[in-house]
Amino acid sequence: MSTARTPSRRTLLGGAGLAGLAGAGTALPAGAAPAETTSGSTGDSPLKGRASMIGVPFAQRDTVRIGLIGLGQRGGTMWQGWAAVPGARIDAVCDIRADRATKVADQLEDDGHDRPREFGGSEGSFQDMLDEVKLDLVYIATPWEFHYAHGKAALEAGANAAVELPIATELDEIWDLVGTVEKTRNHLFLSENCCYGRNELAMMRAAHAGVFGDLSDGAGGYCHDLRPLLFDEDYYTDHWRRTWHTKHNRSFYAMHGLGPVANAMDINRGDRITTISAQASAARGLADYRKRFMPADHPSWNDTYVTGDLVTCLHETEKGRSIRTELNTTTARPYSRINSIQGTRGLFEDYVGTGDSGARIYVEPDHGDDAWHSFDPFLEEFDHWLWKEVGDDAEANGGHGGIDYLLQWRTVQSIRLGLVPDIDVYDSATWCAAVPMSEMSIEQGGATLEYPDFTRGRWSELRQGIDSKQKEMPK
Amino acid sequence: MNPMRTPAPTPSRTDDRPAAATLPATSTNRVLALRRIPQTILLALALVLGAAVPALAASQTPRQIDAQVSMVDLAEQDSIQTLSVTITNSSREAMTGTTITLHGPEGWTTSPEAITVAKRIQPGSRVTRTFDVRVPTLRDGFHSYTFTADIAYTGGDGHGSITGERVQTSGEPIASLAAARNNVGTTSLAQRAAGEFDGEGNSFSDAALKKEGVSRGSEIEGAGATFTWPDLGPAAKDNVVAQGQAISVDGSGSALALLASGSGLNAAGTVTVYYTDGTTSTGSLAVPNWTGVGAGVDTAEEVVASAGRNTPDGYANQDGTYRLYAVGVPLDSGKEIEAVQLPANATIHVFDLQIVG
Ligand SMILES: NC(=O)c1ccc[n+]([C@@H]2O[C@H](COP(=O)([O-])OP(=O)(O)OC[C@H]3O[C@@H](n4cnc5c(N)ncnc54)[C@H](O)[C@@H]3O)[C@@H](O)[C@H]2O)c1
Repeated sequence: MSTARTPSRRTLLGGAGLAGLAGAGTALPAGAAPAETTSGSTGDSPLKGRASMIGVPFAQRDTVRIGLIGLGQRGGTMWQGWAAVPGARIDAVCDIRADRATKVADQLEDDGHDRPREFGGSEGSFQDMLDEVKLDLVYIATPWEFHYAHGKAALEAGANAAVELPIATELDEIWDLVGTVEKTRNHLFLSENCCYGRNELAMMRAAHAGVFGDLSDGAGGYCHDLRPLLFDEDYYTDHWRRTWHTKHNRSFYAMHGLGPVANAMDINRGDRITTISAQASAARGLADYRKRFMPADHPSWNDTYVTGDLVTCLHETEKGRSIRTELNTTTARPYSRINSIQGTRGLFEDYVGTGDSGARIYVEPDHGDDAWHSFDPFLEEFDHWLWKEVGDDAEANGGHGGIDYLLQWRTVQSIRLGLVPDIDVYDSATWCAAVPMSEMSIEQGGATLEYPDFTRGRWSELRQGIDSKQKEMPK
Repeated sequence: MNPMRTPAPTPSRTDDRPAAATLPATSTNRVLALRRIPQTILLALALVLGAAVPALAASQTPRQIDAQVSMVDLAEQDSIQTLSVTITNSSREAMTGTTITLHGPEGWTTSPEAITVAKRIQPGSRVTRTFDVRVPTLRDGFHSYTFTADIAYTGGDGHGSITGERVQTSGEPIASLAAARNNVGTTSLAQRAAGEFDGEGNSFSDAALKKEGVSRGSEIEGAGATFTWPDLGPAAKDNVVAQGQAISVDGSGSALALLASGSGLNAAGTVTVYYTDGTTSTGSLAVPNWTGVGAGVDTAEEVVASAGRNTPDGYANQDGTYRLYAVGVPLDSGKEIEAVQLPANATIHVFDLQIVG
């Protein structure tokens, strides 16, 4: 297989991405060294004057002061989990639509919490919040095109940042966030809730225990029929998400599939992703849905969709493993994140409807009958301590079956105890780089591109990540 | 949980004694094997050997390079620990270009994969290098974990390579073969639905076996041993599917004899025997498929051939022959056995296990 070096995004897209339209990432930050911005650089050495944030703990805080930016569908519900975690406090809320900030502040007050400060009304309100309120953690749930600017500003204001998917949409922005974390010494990480899925965590822990032997392959994805939501003018604000489907042919959400597999494979902790190649099928699903269900005066009739219905990314790793991720949000299909892993001694497949876990397994020497077995007993054996400890609270307190709350609980716990984050900026950058790079590969006919090493050469160091050791939440 | 730890291991190397009996075996002077320990205590058993790697040019010269691999703390699960490899050069030449490649237990993450020792290792000196190892959640039951350090070098004693190995174990052996039985291999026609010998619901027919003189508690001769056919009712768990279980065994002898059959074409693997003096030996085991083909057809002794089998639909395949075999694994004679670990190959079915004097 021939390997092409990654071309600059700017050469490929001529700077005409949606990010430009939305006003985020329009200028490279001062002090961003060329090495950071040269796409495809494997960046084997730390930048001058900055030290790696690998293994660096959060600055310890007894109480975690949280600010929220973006209070739509996601932020407008995630606040409940943040407020419920022991030791966390929401001190400020912000949405460009001021009424949304007021609504969340009211709800917090109704629930017996101190009323947070409200910010809103303008595109720069988030900066006012960051300037005026001392925060330990900023949670960002704005549309994709704003993540980079909001995340960077939070870091520069002295806070850690938990950013919804993806941390940034372009490769130079992703590199810049890595550099900004290293410069500010604050953490920024992807709010990758699927990594806290019960099956995902048990799969990872079984993999680490050698149940599958030496890992050879993994697959994951985000296969979710979003068509009704994408066409609902009251759901995604200003139909921002549908607009992305008119601008870019890329895997917008590679991270939901890549994160859990990367955790099982110790990516950036002993192995690293070395290449990406991507393919996209034709973009037909949205147009088909519109034809059947959208009235003639619906704004979507002005759209031309370009994102393939199935965008598949293939990765190779330094240790000779392969990873496949799929994005499919525009066709009729039941939900799946695929979530599977294969090794020399067996395999695991999620979303197949077997047993309570919905997953199946076949491993030697436990099985020798060429038949699938329920994952249920393995789930019990390899259940992550977080699920045992906070699983019931999680299911009561948050969305997506509890994974959101587990991420929130663990993030707050890590700050309160001064632990190294489960997911760091290097993991986040690695998982999110597939978003812009899938488009680069597709534009080159599925070319295999070299993948950046955001750890700057430290990927081979074995480190604990989300496969963490049990800790008590401080009283 | 506190693991039982062995005392600091003494340098050791491969014992080159020839294999004792029917199948190839390797013996090692591992430091300490199993001890009786309380149920609640995790057994962390360290076994060390320096295995000589054949090197043509230097095969006659004595080994003067030693490699020791340290232990991890198996009680500290879900942690990243360090493991060190110490190379001692007792030769009269300096070692150069020394590279240590560490292999952990299958599927475990160790880092880095290899370390090249930058400096020369002078005669009479030693160097230690450390690797990171994730000690994951350990599975229930008896398990062994092998860390192998392959060391390549020039100079020194001229052998060019040496392997240091550390074997640690966790869990307790199963009390007896009877307690380990986990599979229904024989059924009566009435209870054929319980049969699961081959994973497809087929099983030996007790009526067909009876015609060959095999019934509850009857004796079967083979591989120098007298086996006892399980004295159980039909549709009882009468055999052990080999999944790497360690089973407590008392006694000593020249060979271990197994009454077994296969449910696949490669019912083969390594049996590890743990002795009370802390040493271990290994031997290959291969059993043909119950239909008479596959691994071990040349070495296993066919002891029973029964016509037909019970299937979910009834007694069938009357023209087919379904067989039991006797196979032997050599033992270190004179040593008291403490436990036998079966291969991790679920197509091997063991019905009885005996020690041959
Ligand atoms: N991890 C998950 O499971 C998950 C689930 C849903 C959504 N998300 C992510 O959450 C993010 C938000 O998605 P959503 O569905 O809530 O969209 P949404 O349109 O409902 O909400 C976005 C909010 O951001 C606000 N906003 C826009 N620009 C702003 C600015 N400059 N300052 C402050 N606020 C601003 C909007 O007014 C809106 O309230 C996206 O990144 C999405 O991918 C993640």
